[in-house]
Amino acid sequence: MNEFKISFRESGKIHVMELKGYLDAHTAPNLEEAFQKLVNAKKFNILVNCKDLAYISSAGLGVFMAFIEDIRTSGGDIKMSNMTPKVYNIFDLLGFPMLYEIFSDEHEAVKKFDAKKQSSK
Amino acid sequence: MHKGTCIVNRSRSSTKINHLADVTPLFEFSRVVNSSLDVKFILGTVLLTLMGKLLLSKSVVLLKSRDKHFRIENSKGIPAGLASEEMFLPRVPKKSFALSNGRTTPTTQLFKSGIVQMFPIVSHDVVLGFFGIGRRAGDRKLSVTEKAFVEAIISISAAAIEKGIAFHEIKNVNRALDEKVQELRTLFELSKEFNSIFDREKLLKLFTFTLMGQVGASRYAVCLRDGETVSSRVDTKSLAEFKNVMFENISSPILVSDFQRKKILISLRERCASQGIVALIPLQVQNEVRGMLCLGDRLRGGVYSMADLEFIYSLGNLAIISLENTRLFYETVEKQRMENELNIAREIQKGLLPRSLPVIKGLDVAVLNISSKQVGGDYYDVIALENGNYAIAIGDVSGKGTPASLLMANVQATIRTLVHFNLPLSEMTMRVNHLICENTGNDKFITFFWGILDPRTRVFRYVNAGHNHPFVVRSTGSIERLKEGGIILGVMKAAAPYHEGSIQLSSGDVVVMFTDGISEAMNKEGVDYTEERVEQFLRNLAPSSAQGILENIQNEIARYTSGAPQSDDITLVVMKCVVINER
Repeated sequence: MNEFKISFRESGKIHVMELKGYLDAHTAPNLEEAFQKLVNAKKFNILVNCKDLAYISSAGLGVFMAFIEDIRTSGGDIKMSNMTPKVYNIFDLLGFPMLYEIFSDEHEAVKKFDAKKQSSK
Repeated sequence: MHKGTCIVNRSRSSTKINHLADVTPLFEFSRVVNSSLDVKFILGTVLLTLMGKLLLSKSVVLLKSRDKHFRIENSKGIPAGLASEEMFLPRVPKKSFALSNGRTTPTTQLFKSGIVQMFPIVSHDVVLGFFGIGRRAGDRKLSVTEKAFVEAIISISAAAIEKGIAFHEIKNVNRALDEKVQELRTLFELSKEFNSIFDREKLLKLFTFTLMGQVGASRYAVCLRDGETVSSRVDTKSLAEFKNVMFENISSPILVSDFQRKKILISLRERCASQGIVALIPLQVQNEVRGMLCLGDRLRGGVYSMADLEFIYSLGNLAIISLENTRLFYETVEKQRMENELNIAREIQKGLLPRSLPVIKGLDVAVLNISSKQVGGDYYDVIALENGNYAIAIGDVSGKGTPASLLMANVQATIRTLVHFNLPLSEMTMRVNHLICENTGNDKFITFFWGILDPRTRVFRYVNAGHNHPFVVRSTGSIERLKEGGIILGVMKAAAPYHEGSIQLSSGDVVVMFTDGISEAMNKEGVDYTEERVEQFLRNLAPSSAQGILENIQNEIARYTSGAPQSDDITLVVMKCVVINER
């Protein structure tokens, strides 16, 4: 069985989720649970670092869809970073770059979050 | 590059200095456009080069969109509004031509925008498109050299443009292919995953996640025909009102905007629109619509194509089949569980009934117990007491299956213990009642009849606790019923005391005890056999042994119920007093 792991850390006020392994139909519920946890704790600024994400399937992408509207309505966002070309290709094929900001590096994403906070002040 | 040199050679006749001056930019230009596969970039470079060289303020490039049709790809200095229109050229010239105002050709628009001359882009004898140039500063005409330069530039760029277009097309084809591969991968992954999930909720969740990920929607509702609805950001109650309309009218995937023919669908369309639903996709198992997927629009915008809907349709059918399989699986499991429980109940019940009957002097006893398929709680017992008497009991526990069997086991244990205390029958009955009241809920009760026979005196003392009154068929032919007793067991603790009845039996008398499986045996028409019929039958009974009588009754019931399923347990206890010295 292919493994999938999620770890959490904070970068300033940004909640970073690191995904590792295979995010497919089988492991998608784990990601759902992780998002639900953050949303329940009112942590809406979420950055998903995909450095070690080896594969993502439609079911995995669906989890992002399930949360994005609620999170944006609450003033937060889901941004992503550090995707391998293979993973990015799947995101791209399904039109996700039009919906989500995807950064090559985590720092850029954090900066973008911070910039938005500054401007909203 | 090659062609460029050729043209430069031709212009040698004008001036040598010009020729040298022209070669360097041409060479540079060739290097730039040929190193790119980006059509946009190439076209832009050509336009800027022409404008810079010829001092133009307007230029345009058209590319072929389909046969004899061209579309503006890039332009400088003319209104952007023209760009979206496709231009039809009935004749596609392969040589440069001047534009004019006269005819009402599509190119007139270009002329009005200030474009005066068009140059075809030809590669392998095919016109890929046209470059158009505007009026020059001071309205100067192109010199021969300048025209040659323009043609050289276009000629050099033609190959690069063709290459770029091909590359772009291949990229598109590749992407379309990648998308198909992704769709197939999704279908494959789901079918694999669906096979290992037997949880309805999980299955639906997985389906909706995959759906959302694949098509980029965040709003949906899955209405199942058998009631359940899962949804995201949709008011399902509002949709539920239209459930029947949906299920009756939608049998293939459809965009909500596409149904307007039927009146009833118009109100459905409005309801869908109010919930942000843009497409309805039926979920089918063997051509039967079992569910409806109501799908919201894509977050990134864009309408679902028929191909999208077809894909979602296959995805949905995969899901509904798995749901159906899950249901069947649980049904089978439940059936098996019930079957197991019944088997346990049967085992318990069988174990409780006496395996053999004691031989009683002067008394011929025969018993019959047939369990129905459901397993009820019929009970009978014949117990030899130490004082030489015999206790004979019959009862019917309410309910069926394991609970009834367990209660019956309880009753049996109680009776078998109490009976040896040699207390008055009425008191023992009261104690049994107490015990059962304490150990069961109000919904459980037992109709019970028992008696103690002294084989020496042939006195039969009995208590009837709400059981069907046994028959006593005297040797003289008269019939009595054993009614003395009290309330059924297990209902009221503080009931009035049980009364004991007593009869004197003599040779040839027959006592027939039975459960309602006999009196309520149903024929095909659903009519009970009734106690009246039992009595009538016993009245006309030919003299026979206890076993013979029992078999006669059994045959009579079988005859009566022929063709109808056995509805309840049947229990019969027949005692016949015989002359003692006969045995």
